[in-house]
Amino acid sequence: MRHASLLSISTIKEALVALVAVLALAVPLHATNDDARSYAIESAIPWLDQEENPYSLRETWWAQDSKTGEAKLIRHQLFARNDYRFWVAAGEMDAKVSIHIYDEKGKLVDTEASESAHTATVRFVPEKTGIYFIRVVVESSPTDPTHWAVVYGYR
Amino acid sequence: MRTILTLSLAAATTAIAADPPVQIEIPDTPGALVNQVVIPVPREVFLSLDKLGARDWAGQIRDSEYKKTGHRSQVALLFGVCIADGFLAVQAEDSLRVEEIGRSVVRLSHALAVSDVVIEHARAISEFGQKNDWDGVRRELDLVENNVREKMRTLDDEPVAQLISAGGWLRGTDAVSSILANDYATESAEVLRQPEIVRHFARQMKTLPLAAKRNSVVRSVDRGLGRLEPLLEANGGVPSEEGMKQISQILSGLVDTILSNGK
Repeated sequence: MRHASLLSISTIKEALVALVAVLALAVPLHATNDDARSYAIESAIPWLDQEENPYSLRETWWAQDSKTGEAKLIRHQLFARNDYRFWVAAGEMDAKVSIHIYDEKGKLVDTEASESAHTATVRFVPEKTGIYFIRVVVESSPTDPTHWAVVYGYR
Repeated sequence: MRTILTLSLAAATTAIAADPPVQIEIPDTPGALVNQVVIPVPREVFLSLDKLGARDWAGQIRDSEYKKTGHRSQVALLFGVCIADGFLAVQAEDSLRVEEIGRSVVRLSHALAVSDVVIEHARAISEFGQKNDWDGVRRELDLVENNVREKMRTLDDEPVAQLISAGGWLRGTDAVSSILANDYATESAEVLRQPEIVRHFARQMKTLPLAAKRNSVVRSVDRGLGRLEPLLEANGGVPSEEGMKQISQILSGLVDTILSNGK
């Protein structure tokens, strides 16, 4: 009886170890959804803290999940002469993202874009007021789909 | 070994984006499009106009008291107008008006049962206003509107969230069109090239619950948006001088209706 109890304790221990292993695998290795927005804001800080003519950050944002290589378009109203900057960040730290701006006819219009780690930024000063498309692509990522968020500022 | 490691690291981090396509197809179906409309804050339009020359924003300030009566949908429109007036007061650098707006925001937030996400920011609006920290006030106004809209969404009250945005857009555009109607230039009039936003609000009006749709102020706004749509789409989206006067008249009437609670 005692032997049987020991066996069952051993079995329970094994089961617990297996459960812990399964749970460990189930814990996401990437950041949560809200983190994508936090990362985007974090990457914007140098432009928001500029001593001269800093950007004003909007408190609204866009967020989505995308498969690697899939392009997502954000339709957004921009006003002529304003200086806009958009920042995108993936929730997954090892992902690569890109961001660019297109006009209503699908023509690339931005002139200043860069990527760094799991974030990217693009700047655009429209000559015309109207609808523009902000194109976000998850270029590479160890997870699929990858969560990302875009914030923007103006000055 | 160190070189190999460096090369491997470099290879691992060279997933740098390829050159973007210079031309893309704009899809007319959902899927590739992010289905979330972000309404610009009035400041974006004010700033665009100011880059063509200083404007008399102080002349656009109304002596409104934002008396909250009537249906929740009316209060939501009024709340949006109040926030837009805050942006206008900042543009005019009117600290007294900013303080009044801060107090009104609190009052209206009680009526919408969202004071928990507003009080702190409303206090900050008044404090920043006293210090003439205009960027601080703008940030808090944007935060208040965003927080209230988010709160409405968590309460499953998306229609009210949309009406707040609509009220803000109507008042901001009212001030801009009034300035442009009095001092018209094609280059400036182009800031009203916003037909997508009018269409967005017109669509939202159709999805309102019946009780809101029956409200006289909401009905006026719905009808007004219907009259604005063709005027904002005419002439390639850049209103003519005559068109601008009509737009200004419609918007001014709608803001009057919201402020007077339809009386």
